[in-house]
Amino acid sequence: MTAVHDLAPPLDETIEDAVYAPPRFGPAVLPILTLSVLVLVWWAVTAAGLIKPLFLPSPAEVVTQFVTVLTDGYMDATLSQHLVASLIRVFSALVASAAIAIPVGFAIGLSRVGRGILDPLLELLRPIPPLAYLPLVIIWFGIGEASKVLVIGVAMLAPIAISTASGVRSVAPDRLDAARALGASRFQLVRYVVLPSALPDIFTGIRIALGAGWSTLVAAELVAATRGLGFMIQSAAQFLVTDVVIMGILVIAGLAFALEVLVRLAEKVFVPWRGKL
Amino acid sequence: MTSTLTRRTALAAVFTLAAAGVAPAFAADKEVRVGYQKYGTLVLLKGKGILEEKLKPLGVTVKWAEFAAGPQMLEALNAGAIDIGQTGEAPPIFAQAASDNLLYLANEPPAPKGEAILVPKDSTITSVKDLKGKTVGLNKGSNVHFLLVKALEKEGLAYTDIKTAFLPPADARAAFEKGAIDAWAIWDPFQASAEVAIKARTLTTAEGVVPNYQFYLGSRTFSDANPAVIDALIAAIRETDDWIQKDPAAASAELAPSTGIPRAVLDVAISRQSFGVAPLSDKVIADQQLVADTFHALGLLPKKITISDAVRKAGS
Repeated sequence: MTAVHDLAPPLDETIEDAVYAPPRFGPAVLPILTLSVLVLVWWAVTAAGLIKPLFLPSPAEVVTQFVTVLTDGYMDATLSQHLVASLIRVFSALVASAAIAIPVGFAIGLSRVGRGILDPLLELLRPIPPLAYLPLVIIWFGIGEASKVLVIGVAMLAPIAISTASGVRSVAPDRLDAARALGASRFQLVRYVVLPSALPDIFTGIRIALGAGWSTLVAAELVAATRGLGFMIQSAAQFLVTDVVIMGILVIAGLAFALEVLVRLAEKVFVPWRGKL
Repeated sequence: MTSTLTRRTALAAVFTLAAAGVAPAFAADKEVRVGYQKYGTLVLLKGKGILEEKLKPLGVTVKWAEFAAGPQMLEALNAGAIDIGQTGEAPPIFAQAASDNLLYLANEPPAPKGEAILVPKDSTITSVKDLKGKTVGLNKGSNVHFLLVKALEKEGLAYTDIKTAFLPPADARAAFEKGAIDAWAIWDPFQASAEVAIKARTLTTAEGVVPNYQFYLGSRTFSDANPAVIDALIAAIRETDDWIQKDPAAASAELAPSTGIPRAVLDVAISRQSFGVAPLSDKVIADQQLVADTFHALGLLPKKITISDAVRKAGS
């Protein structure tokens, strides 16, 4: 009897080891390791002369270019001016887009009429590449800031609206029934039951929308821009200055990552109940 | 140990493959890769098949590759993806700054009427002087950027006296029609199209301001290794030039379907082109040097370049 007991290890330990396989290091270690290896490989192939600088400049060249553009600027503006110009555009687009897309998402999620009208419009708008309607945007709205914000904002509409709608529709029916049984009005149902349940999905939509916004930045800044990260990258590409192109891409990637972290923090503050319902 | 070795071998293989993928393909003796745009002499040369004929005795075949615009074409040339290309004045300046493999092979004579500053037909602007304080649309770092600077200079205006709006041709046309820009610096066939379709008025062409050349460019490694191919190419271009000059209507008929531009527009554009391919003269080199120096002064070109370093020596 005792022998059989000895053979079977304690149950909790087995599950921990075999199923979850807890890593023996912190959560930041793997991402940092991945990025370090990437930079190391990049450095190694350029240092070994395997790839000509025109195709892939070395990390040192890109860092030098980073410092030069930071201090002297590129195309009549410093890196921080390019960065601020783009940040303002992306944020204005996000605010405008959220102001439209969240109500749209509620309309789609809450009412069959709303879904019937708005869903096809959204699905029509979603796949059109921004470069295709650029001349239209210019004819309708000119070449000012509004056109650039519009191009970015249009790309952000669908992710927010679709996520919001899916969040609205996933509200647990028993929770609605309970609130209704306690005498909640239609408005109270939406405000105190549906909105808190949908908030995690709205945040997810905003995170996806930010990504979509950054990826349309270059197209948006084709419209008579004199500043902006997209403008900087596009100019450098036109003039074959590869190190500025790579530097610009890395800056956008870093910025997008920082924003993602910020949104996740905001999510923790505003939606502490995420994943706990 | 075995597993480490295998992994290392696999990694090495990946690197080798990656390196092979991006390493410049060195001049293959049996094939010449020519880049062309929808509009220009090379696409007509392609249609006529003269180059293939001339290269047959040399045992060389031709591979054609279409490009949307000059900068991308020269990027491909720098990267070793094509051997020959044709562009206007601006792209080779930037390509030379990026790589020393670029070589000017020959040029067409000046075609100053083939670029202009346009205003809408009912505009109150009647001269270049009137542009002061106005917004001019143009493609950044192109031949018309040089034209604009020099046209303003000629009238005693500074580049900073006007506002510029950088727009690629299609977007600029939209902004021009909407009235979001007051004037538009543009080249043919877009220029002819705006004149024919929306009766845009010409403020000034490049005549008496800048020359406006078309250049034939090649990769230095290919050109050095295959001088006979380059000579055959220039001879073939010469024949094409003669044919277009003799029968411009046939040339525009051939270009109309592929460019999607109406024949009436192409007739105007072709009539403003110039023909007579020749190696670069000292005058052409000096003119092109001025373009480079102007772009450098504008902060568009990151470093000073010397055009004569990148010109094919006659008979080499």
